[in-house]
Amino acid sequence: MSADTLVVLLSIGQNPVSGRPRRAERDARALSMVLGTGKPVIGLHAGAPHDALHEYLGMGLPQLINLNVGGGEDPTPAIASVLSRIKPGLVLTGARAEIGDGSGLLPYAIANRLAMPVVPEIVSVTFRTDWTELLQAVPGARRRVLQVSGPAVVTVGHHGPPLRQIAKGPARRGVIKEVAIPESLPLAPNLMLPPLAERPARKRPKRIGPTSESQSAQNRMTLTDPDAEAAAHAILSFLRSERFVLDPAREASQTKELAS
Amino acid sequence: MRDDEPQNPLRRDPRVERDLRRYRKEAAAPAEAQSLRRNPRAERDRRRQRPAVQLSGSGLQARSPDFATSSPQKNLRKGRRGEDPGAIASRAPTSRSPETEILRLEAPSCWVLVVPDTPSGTLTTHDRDAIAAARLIADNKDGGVIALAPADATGYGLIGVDRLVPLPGTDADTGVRLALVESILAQCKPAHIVLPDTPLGGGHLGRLIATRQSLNIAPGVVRISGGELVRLSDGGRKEQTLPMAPVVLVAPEVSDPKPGPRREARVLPVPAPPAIEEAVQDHGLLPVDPYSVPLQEADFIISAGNGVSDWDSFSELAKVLNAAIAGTRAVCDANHLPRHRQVGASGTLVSPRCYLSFGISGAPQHLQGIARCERVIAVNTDLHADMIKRADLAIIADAQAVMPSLLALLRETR
Repeated sequence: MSADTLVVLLSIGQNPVSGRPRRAERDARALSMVLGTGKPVIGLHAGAPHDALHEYLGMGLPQLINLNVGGGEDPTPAIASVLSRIKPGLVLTGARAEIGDGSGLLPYAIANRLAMPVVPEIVSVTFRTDWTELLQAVPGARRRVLQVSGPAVVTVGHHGPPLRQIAKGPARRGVIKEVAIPESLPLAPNLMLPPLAERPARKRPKRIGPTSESQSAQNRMTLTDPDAEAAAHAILSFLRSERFVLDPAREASQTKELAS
Repeated sequence: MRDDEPQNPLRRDPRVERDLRRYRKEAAAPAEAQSLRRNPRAERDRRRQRPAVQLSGSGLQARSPDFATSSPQKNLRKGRRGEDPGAIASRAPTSRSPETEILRLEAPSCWVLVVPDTPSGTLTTHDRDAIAAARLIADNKDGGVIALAPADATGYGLIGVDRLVPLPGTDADTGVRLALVESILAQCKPAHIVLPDTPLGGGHLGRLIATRQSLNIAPGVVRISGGELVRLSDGGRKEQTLPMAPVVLVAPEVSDPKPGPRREARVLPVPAPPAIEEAVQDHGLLPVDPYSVPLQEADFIISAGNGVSDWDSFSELAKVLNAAIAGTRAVCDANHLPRHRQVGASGTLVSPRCYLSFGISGAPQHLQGIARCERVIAVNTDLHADMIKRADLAIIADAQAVMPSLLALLRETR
């Protein structure tokens, strides 16, 4: 297959209230991001087949491959071997799973095996002739423009386009292609240590009020009736000292002009 | 006093005798009266303070006469108050007096490396929690803390950092940090690496390090206790206890920053390696629309109250500062701003790093909305307004005068 192909790694999610299996939200968002782009999209799931996977087909996904990886087994080698056969242009997935450990390590493990970069927190993908333009969500409700020219693993968090609706007809008609995994796969070391104990989570109290020194009122300043220039200088120097406003030189280096 | 009364020789009055004994003793030697009875709490306090903090003398000496001369009742109250964490913080000598001793570690049993995110060069609260977690892990093993910090960083010694590795720039990207962490790994062989589990910062870097170096990792750790890590799994439904891992990614509020002895934060010479080339090109941030940025996520908010009438300068200022626009209930009621821009109890509870307010007096409902802001700047004409008390920088002036001059100043310097 060509480098045009996009692969979305899909997992089974869990309704946070009822606990029922459903499509995983972040994976579904990654899928919604690429379904309208006109590129061939392949869904890939590793694990036991499940009815919830049909929800992805109902979103308009034409092809879904299920890799039969046994429960409790690390899916990384199987997924990596399939990906190295498909040779996709971009691999998309949710930042972490909704069931199981939810460590968020899988995209990094796969990228490490296939020697691809990982680009986290992507909200939109645009394909140009020579490169792919990615928009990344930066804390503080800002967006950063990134460009990748080769294949990359892209992870999707809570930001981004709304999820596509599930159409019942295509969901029921769609067929999941079962693929057996090759026998001899090099085993990956499991980077997550086995837990010593496991119990139902309990609610932890949130921290109330400022505890760190940065927030305590140590250097409070009050200017009474300054003239307008003095007040403006005081505000600007405060903003500069806390780096909310950058110095002109650094400002210029950080907000570069868009290439295209 | 009772003992002056004529007494019946046939019948003893134990109460009088006791009072008499007590009175005579107190008059004779008050300090001795104390020493007859042990004060376990004071002893424990003294025991605790000496080895851990290495006081410069003044702290302990200032306290001991207190214990000796005051009455037992008073002593008890003092001891109780001494137990609460606020009081401990206030008497901790580290941040108060600059002449206190600096704790120097030469060859600790192990090193713990902490890599804070430091967006735009300053520590976030999550970063401080991660450094506190690193300190906790190091203290369990008598180790030291190495921090990766911007080149012009100050005050890291106060929050428990023994060694500092300066980054080449103030906001170095992941490739530079990764290369530097790998050279620290080769040189100092830290036992643990602690990072804040943020999607773009520590969470990304930590997972990259773990997969590249094949190190065990514990992501999303919510608590550290007795050498074990607690993290949430199964979408937050289950709690896992893990053994201590080489790479620890900590959630916010994992451990509270505690005042401790001042550390030296000595700069560690680590050869700056060439940055690991990333196949991703950065083309900068997109400009934001101040009216459409969701307020809950905004990092920098400029907010207007009833004291603002010059709306042109206000929105111009928001554009120049690249800040999100917000307002009080009164302003939104008057249709100066749309309803989704309202901050406060009936609007949005915001948590930006900086909140710049013009003409806001600070109703309790509004102060509730800005409770999680890190820094507040207030411009208001009323010196006694509640907003002025909340602000880190308060300016008693008319917003209509300050806004145009700040705008002019910002345009001049760009």
